[in-house]
Amino acid sequence: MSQILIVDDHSDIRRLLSVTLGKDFSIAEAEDGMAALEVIRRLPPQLVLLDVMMPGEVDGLAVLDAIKSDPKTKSILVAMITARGQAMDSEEARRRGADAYFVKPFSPLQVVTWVRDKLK
Amino acid sequence: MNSADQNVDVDDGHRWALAIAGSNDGVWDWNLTTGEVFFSDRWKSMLGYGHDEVGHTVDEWSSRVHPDDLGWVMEEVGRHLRGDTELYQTEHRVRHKDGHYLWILDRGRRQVDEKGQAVRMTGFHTDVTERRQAQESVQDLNLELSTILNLSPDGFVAFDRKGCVKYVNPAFVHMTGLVDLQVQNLTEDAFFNVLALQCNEHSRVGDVTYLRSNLTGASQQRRSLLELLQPVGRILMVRQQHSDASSISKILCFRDVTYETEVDRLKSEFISTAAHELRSPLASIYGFAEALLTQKTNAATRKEFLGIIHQQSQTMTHLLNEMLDLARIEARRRSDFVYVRVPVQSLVKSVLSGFKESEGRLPVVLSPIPDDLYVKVDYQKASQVLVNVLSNAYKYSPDGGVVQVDIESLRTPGRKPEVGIHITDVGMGMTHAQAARVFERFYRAHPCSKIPGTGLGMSIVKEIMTLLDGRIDIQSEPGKGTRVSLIFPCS
Repeated sequence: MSQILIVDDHSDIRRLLSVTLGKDFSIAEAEDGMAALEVIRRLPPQLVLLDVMMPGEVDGLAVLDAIKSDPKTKSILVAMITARGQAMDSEEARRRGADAYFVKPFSPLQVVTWVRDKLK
Repeated sequence: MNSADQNVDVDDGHRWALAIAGSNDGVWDWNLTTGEVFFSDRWKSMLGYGHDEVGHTVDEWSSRVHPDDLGWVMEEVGRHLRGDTELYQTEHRVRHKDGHYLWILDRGRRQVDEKGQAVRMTGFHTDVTERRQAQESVQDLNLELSTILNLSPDGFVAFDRKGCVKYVNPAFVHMTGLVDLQVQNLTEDAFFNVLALQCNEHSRVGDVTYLRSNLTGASQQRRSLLELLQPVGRILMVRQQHSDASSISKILCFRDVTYETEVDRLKSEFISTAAHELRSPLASIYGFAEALLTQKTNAATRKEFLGIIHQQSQTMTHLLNEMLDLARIEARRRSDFVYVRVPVQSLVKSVLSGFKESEGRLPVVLSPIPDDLYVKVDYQKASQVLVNVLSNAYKYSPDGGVVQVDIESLRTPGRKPEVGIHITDVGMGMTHAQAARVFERFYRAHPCSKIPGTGLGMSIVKEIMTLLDGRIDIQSEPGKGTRVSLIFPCS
């Protein structure tokens, strides 16, 4: 079963995504950037759903950079999930290597559809 | 002796009488040998007198001349009598019977005897008061205009008919750091080249090229922004006005809009941050509602999801209310504040009696309050400040512990007497850097989703305290707790 890591400081959003994806995939959660990097190092997932703005030293874009700059983790698919809805922000994320970009509020069904398509 | 002097024939009876009667001028005729002066009826009526009210001496005139004018006018008379001037002509003020002064154009000529001695002088009074007044009002207007231009906070540059800089006012000099001599008489192109040296050539707001293309290009906009770097960073709104005046072809007006531009920027930043903050609770509401509609769920899960939707709706409502509160306080400033003088004791006690501490928590511990302390505040706004700080004290001490309120009379040297209301918790506390940011909009030192909050509560506290002429002091240590002191001036 493919492993998905959900990173968001809002527990509600983690719950929503894990409930929606939990039937088909194995789920790990992290509530900030540091914890996410730790999970990725220990047990690299196939896909990460990653919040952009999180408290602490390491925000979502920093996690994205870490994943995409390391040859060992570069192939991990990353979808950014963010409350920043401006076109500039999504372009920035794509330029840094994000595979998808979902703006809050998002449809969980769309996320599931995208994940299933990628992890088929 | 010149020939003109001899040819004047004022004694020729009939023509003389006709001239006097038909003219609007007053005639005077001074016999220098006898000292006797003839004043015509028109001369007298011009000054408000009847036929018999004026005598026959030169004093009748000189005593009515304005004291400031008499000296130099008499000198002119003397010069003419000596033969230094061909004609005697002055404009001076003569007092009317009513007491006001008329401006009189006085023209005359002497007659001399065969030895060249002046024996007679004859002349006319013409009332030129209206013309003088018109001249004075033009002068006044000029003075008024130059005062306005000198005092105006807006900068003005006027170009003459040849298209060269004719005038710059002090505000322009102040704004741009360019002095009169640098720009005086420059052509328009040269003027803009000099101005460009003061500007930010990579400006996103507007540089000189952008300004000129806006003012002169096909679109012919009336206004355009310009960003200055020298002498200090400023944003100017430049407007252009063409003129039909004979001396001026156009005027450029420079208004300093640095402050307005900054306010606009902060506003749009606030709106984009606010939109961002609203997206988070909305994401939960939208997502869980969709999950309920599309996924098979058992009763317990349905209840859990509905609970989240309900709670996030509350968060959103709270956020909207606080944003509106803040916007209202900012927009109305003090105008809807109702100041009353109240004892601190009753203010604090009434807030505490209405305050609901979090479930399972001990009520606020209130230390004894001195009963002679008064503050002048808007009751409702001061209460809101206390409630916001008290709820933070409970929210950010989730592991429990007492929340304490102390009131202290403060006498700091150099300050008027003050009252400090200290709200102390033994909760999570903040680092120095976090504490320094608590008044920022939407900033949360502990953005933990378990503790509800908008990041606006302390912004509201700060705004209100400023409007109440009070201040806030925060002492905090991570893991130890926080003491917020609300300090009001005594009344």
